[in-house]
Amino acid sequence: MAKRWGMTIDLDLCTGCQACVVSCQAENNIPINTEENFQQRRAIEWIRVERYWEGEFPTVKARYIPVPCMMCENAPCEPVCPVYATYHTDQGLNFQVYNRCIGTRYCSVNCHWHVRFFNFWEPKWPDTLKQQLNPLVAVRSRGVMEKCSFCIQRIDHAEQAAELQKRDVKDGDFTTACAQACPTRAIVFGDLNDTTSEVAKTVASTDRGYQLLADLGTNPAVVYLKKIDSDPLPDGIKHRYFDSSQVGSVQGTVAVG
Amino acid sequence: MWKGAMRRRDFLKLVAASGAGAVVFTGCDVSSWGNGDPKREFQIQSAVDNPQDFALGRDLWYATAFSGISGGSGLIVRVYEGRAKKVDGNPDYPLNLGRSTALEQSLVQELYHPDRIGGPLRLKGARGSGSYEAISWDEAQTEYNSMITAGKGSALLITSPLSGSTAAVADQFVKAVGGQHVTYEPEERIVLREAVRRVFGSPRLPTFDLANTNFLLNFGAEFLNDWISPVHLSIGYGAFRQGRAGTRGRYWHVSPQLSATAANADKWVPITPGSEGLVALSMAQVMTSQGLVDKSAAGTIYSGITLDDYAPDKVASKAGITADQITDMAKTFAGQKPSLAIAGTSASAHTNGLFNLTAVYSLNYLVGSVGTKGGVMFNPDSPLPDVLPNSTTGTSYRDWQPIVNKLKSGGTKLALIYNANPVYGLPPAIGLQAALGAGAKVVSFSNFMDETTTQADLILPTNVVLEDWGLHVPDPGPGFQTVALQQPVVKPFVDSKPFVDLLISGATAAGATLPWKTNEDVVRATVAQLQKAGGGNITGTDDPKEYFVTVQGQGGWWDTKKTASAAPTAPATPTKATEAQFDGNGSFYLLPYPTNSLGYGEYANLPWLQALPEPISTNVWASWVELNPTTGKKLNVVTGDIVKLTTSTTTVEAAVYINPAAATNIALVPLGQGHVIFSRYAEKRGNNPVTFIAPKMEAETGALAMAATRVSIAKAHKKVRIPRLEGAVPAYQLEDFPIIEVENTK
Amino acid sequence: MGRIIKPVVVVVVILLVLAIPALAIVARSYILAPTAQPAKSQPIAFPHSIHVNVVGLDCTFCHRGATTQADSTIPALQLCMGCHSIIPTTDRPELQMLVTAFNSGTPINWTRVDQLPDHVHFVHAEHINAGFSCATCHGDVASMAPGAVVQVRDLRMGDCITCHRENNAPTDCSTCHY
Repeated sequence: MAKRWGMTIDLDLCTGCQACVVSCQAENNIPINTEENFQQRRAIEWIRVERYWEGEFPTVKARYIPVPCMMCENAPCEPVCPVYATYHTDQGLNFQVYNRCIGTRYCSVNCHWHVRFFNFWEPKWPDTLKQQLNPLVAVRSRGVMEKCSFCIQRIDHAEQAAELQKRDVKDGDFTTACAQACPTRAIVFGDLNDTTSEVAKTVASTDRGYQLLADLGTNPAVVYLKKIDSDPLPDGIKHRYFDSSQVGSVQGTVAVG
Repeated sequence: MWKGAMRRRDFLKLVAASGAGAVVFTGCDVSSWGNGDPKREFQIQSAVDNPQDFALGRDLWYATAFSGISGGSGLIVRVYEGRAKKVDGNPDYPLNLGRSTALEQSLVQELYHPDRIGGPLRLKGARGSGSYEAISWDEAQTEYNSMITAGKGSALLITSPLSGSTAAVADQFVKAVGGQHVTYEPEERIVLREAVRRVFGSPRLPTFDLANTNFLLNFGAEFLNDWISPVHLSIGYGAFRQGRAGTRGRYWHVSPQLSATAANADKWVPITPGSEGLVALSMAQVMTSQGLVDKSAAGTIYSGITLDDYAPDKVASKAGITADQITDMAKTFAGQKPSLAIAGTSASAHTNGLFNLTAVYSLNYLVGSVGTKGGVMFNPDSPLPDVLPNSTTGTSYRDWQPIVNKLKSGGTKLALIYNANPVYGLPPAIGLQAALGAGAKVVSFSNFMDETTTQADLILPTNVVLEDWGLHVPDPGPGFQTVALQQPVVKPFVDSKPFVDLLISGATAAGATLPWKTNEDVVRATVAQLQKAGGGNITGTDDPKEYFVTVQGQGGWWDTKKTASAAPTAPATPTKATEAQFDGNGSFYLLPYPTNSLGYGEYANLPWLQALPEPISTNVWASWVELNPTTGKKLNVVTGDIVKLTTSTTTVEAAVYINPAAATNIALVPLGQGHVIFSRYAEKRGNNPVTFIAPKMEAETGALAMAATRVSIAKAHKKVRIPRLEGAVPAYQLEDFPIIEVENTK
Repeated sequence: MGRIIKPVVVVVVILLVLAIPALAIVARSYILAPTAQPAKSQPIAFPHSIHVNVVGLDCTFCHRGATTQADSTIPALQLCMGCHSIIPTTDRPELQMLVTAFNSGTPINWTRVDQLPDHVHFVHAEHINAGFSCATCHGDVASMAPGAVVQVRDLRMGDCITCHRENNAPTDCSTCHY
C-alpha cells in the first residue's frame, strides 16, 4: 500500500520546551530569525510552539501546542498555486517545490494554520555559521515560499538505504528532527497506512485524537491527542478575556507569510 | 540513522573517529564560502588524508557528551566531511536516552560562532578597553608560563562546576601552582545542594522517580526547563503522564509564578514569594494532626518546630492562599501515594531559601517517598572518586567576598578563569570587576569576549564542547554509576587548545610532574583505570584498546547494578522556620527568573537560543517586565510601555509585558540578557536583573537571594515594541472552538 | 518610398522580436548547452585512459561512493599515493605535482565537470544499483584526453525526466528537489 506519512502530537506530553523548534532549524537550514523578523511577523519556524491562555490570575492556565505543517489531504494551499509549485506527493506529503515557486504567496494566504513562510530577503548567515548548513537540504533563496517538509531528506535517505538492502522502509528506520529531539516523546512520526507502525497504532488506540481545525474538512495528517486536565478551571472563568486595550496599540498591519 | 538504524553496531564503526575525523579543507579560506562564488562553487576537492573513519560524501554520527550547565547529556553529532551539522541525544546514554534540549541542539553554533576568539590574544591597551593583539601559541605559552611562575602560591582558578577527568587535572593544577579553586554556578544550586545534603545526607543531587509517581507537588522548581537535569526529568515526566496504563500522574505546582514548567501542572497554586517553607510545614501539620501519616516520623524531622504553630489558618494569610487550599494539598499529597515533593529555582532564591527547600524535601519522609519507587532516588558516588571526582558545590555570594578582597589587596597574584562569567553573574556591588583590575595577572580561557574575559591580560581560547575530550560524572546521575565520555567530533575550528592541556602545561611550568601530556592522555588513562575496576556496560573484551573504542562508541561507561547504598534515615531538619526578608519598600516583589532558552545567560551568545520564544510570553531577543493586567491598568501601562523599576540599589528601565497569569503584587523579569559584551547576538540587549537587585543573601548558605528585592514601578512615557512570536493580541482559547482540546477527568 | 519602407521596417522588427525566443531556444540547445562547452582546465592533467585502459582499474576503485551513497566521491590523495609512492616520478611533471601536494599537505581543488544546482539531489548509488553504468551519463571517460574530461550528457531537467520516464522511474518533484 502507498505510504501516508503522518504524525501524532500528544498535548498531554508537550511541555513547551521547544527542543523541536531548534532541532528543526538545525536540520532544515532555516535562516536565523532576527529581532526585525519577529517585529515584522516574518519569523520562520517550520514547527512552532503556541501558547494559549485560559482564564486570568489567579485562576489561569497556559497551554502549549506545537504546530508543524498539517500535511492536509485536501490541502487548501495547493489549488491556488498558479505554477503548481505546491502539490501532493503519492506519499501524502503536501510538498513545496522551491525552484518552481514564483512567490505569489497565495498558498500562505490560503493556509489556515499559518505554517507557510515566505523568504522576503535572501537568507544570510555569517560565513562561519554556514559550516553548519545541512548539505542535504536546499537553502531557499529570496522570493520563495517554504514550509515543513516532514524532513523529506530523511525520508529519501531512508528509502535509498532500504532500497540498497532490497527491502521496504520500516517503522523506526528514521524519524523527523522534531520527533527525534522531543524529550517526552510527545511527537511520533511514521506511516499512517502501516498498521504496525507506532503512529498508526497510536491513532487507532487513542480516544483522545483530534485534528486541528478539522471542521474545514482538509483531513490533516497530523493528529493531536487531547490534553488531559484533572483539575480544570471552573467553567465561567475559563473563557474570560482580559481587556484588549491592555495589550498595546496594534501598530500597523504587517504582511503575513 | 537514528532510533533503529543508529544503534550500537554503527557506533562501533564510528568511534575511532574523533581526532582524525576532521581533516579536510585545510587549504580552504572560510571567508569566501557560498555566496555563489563560481571559483568555489565549481570546485571539488581531493582531501590529503583519508583515514578509515572518514568517509567523503556521506554523514557520520559520533557519540560525545556535554557536561553542561545542568546535568548534562550524552550526544551524537552528525559530521559531514569534517563539519559538525547536527547535535542529537545519544540513544544509549542512560540519562537522556536519545533526547536533547534546545541548548544542546545549539552547540554547533558555539562551534561555528562568527565571534569566536580565533587564537591567543594579549592585552594591548588599558584593561577593559577590549584592545588586544593576536599572538602565536608559542608566545602565549611563554607568557602564560611566566605568569604561572610569578603567581605561584597565590593563584586563583575560577571555573564552572567541573567533574570527572577535568576536575582531577584541575586539582593537580591547583596543588602544583598553589592557590585556590573556586566554582561559579547559579546560586540557587548552592542552596539546593546544601538542602539535599541536610535532608538526605547525600553529597550528590538526587534523581526523582517520576515514572512511578502518582502525585507530584512542585514548589517552584523549573524541572522541565533549565533546572538540574531537564532531559532526564522530562523523560520521567512523559512516563509520569502517559507511561502507565490506567494511571496518569497528577501534578500541582506551588509558586509565585506561572512559569514555563508550571504551565504543565494540573493546578497552579499562586503563593506569596518566600512562603514555600511555611506552606510545607502547614501541610505537615495537617497530615500529622489528621492522622494521614505516621506521627512519630514527623516528630523526628520537625523536632525543633512546634507544628501546630503552622496550622493552615495561621499560615494562609502569609502565603496568600486559603487554609482550604493548604488542607487540600496536604490531603491529596498524603492520599495519592506514591507522592513526591520537590522544590527549587524560585523557592531557593530567597533569604530563607534553605528553609524552604528543607521543609519541602522533608515532606517526602512523611509519605515514605525517600529511596522508594516513585520517590526520591539517590545517586551513588563516582566509580573512581580519586581520578573522577564528583562536581563540587559552587561558591556562594558570601564566600566570594573574601576572594574579591584578596584580589583587591594584591594577595592574589594570578587569576585564571575558565567557562565562567562571574563579572556578569555576580552583583556589581561585590566589585569583582574592579578587583580583577587591581593588580593580579588575569588569564581567561574563554572562547568569547564577555564581561569577565575583557578584564584579562592574556586570553587563551580553549576548545569548545564538540572539539574536546573529557570524562564527566553527571550530577544528578540516573541513579546508578555513570561516566560520560566526551570526544572531539571535529578538529578545532579556530586556533584553540584544550583547557586541560593548558592546565597540564601550567602545572609543569610550576614545577610539577604530571603523568600526562594532553587531555586525551588523561581520558585514556582514566578509562584504563575504569576497565581495571571492573563492572560496567562494556563486556566481552579484555583488550584495552578495544575497550576504549567501545566506551567511545557508546558515549560513556555505566553500571546499572551500582546504585546508591541504603536510603538515609529521617534527619532533624529543618530546625526552625524562617520567613523571607525583602529589601526595599517598593510595592512589588521583584522576581527574576531563568528563562527556558537563556537560563542564567551562559549561552546567550547563540542566535538560535536568542530567537527561541520564552514559552509563556513568547518574547524573543529582549528582556522585559511582566505585570498583571489589573496592575497595568492601575499604572496606566500596556504591553510595550517603558516603566522605571526602582530598587534600593538603582533605577532601570524596562518594557512592560502584560501577562494575564502574573500576580498583582509581583514584577517578573527574565534573566540571561543584559550582556555588556558577549558576541554580536547578545551584547547590549535588554538588562541584567543581577545589576539592579539588592544583593541580599540566603541566611545560612550565603547564596545570593535573587528574589529578595522589592521594587517600585513608575511609567516612563516611552514605548517600544517587544519582539515576539505571538501577535499583538494574546491568544485565548475560544469557548466553542478550542485550538487545544482538553479532556477533563474531574 | 517611405510608404514601402515603413511596413517593411515594422515587419522586420516584428520578425526580429519573434526571433529572440527562437534564437534563445537554439542557443540553449546548442551554444549554451553544457555538452557544448570546451574542456575545463584542471590543476593536474589526470589521465583516466591510463588508469582504466592500461592499469585496468574500475571506476569505483577510486570513486568509491558511487555504489553505496549519493556522492561518487573524489579520492583523497592518500589513495593516489597508495600506488604512486612506488611509481617513479622522474620526467613526469604532473606526477610530481601530486607528490608535492601530498607531501606538503595541500588538498587539490579540481574543477567540476558535471555540475548540478544545489536544489537537485542526485543519488549515484540508486542509479548504479538500477543497472546503469557510469558511462550512461559520463560517457567514455577513459578515451578522453588527460585533463580534458568533458560533459557528454545534457543532465538538465528535460534530460533527467526523459530518462526517468523511459525507465519507469518516479517523476515526482520531491524525488530530486528538496
